Amino acid sequence: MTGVDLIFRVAAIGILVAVLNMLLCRAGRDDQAMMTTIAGLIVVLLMVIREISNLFTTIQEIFGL
Amino acid sequence: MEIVRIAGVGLIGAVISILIRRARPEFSMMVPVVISFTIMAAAAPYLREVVGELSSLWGSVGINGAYMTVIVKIIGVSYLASISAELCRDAGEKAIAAKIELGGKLMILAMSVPLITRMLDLVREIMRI
Repeated sequence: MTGVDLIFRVAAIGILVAVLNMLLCRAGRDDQAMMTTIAGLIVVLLMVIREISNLFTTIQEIFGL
Repeated sequence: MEIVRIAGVGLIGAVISILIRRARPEFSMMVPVVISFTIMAAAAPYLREVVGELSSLWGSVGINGAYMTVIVKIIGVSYLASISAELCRDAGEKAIAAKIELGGKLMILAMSVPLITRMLDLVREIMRI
């Protein structure tokens, strides 16, 4: 996927997790709030890592590393 | 033009990262990473063009190809090292950034040793005449 909508996707997930976290904290379930934060972070990390590997392979291919 | 897209993506990303940094600090590093990689993916074709032109230029001028490939590799290593070091510094990890740069410097040094030895041989030959 192109980079720009990846940015918006990461932003959306971040905001969603923030809101969920606040909700769960209000509801008193702090542990589940932590779980959702970690889950959201892992999802975002997986998407970002794919983007990083794409870029690093192109740079290696350009410079012949 | 391309620069307009790059500047636009950068600005949007800065706004988003401020928003997320306040709401969820853990995500605050993800946005700069994605944006810097998007911008560089947009700039990669130009980079490929420049490197291609230069290497063909060197071929025609008759400079020994081995030295040029080492130079291009060194540029690539420094490019990657600076990208990741800046991202780590942006995330607040100065120590990790310094280690990445140290690794990059060592690799560049290792790659340039053959060049140094060849130059010394050349100087020795000249001195002997």
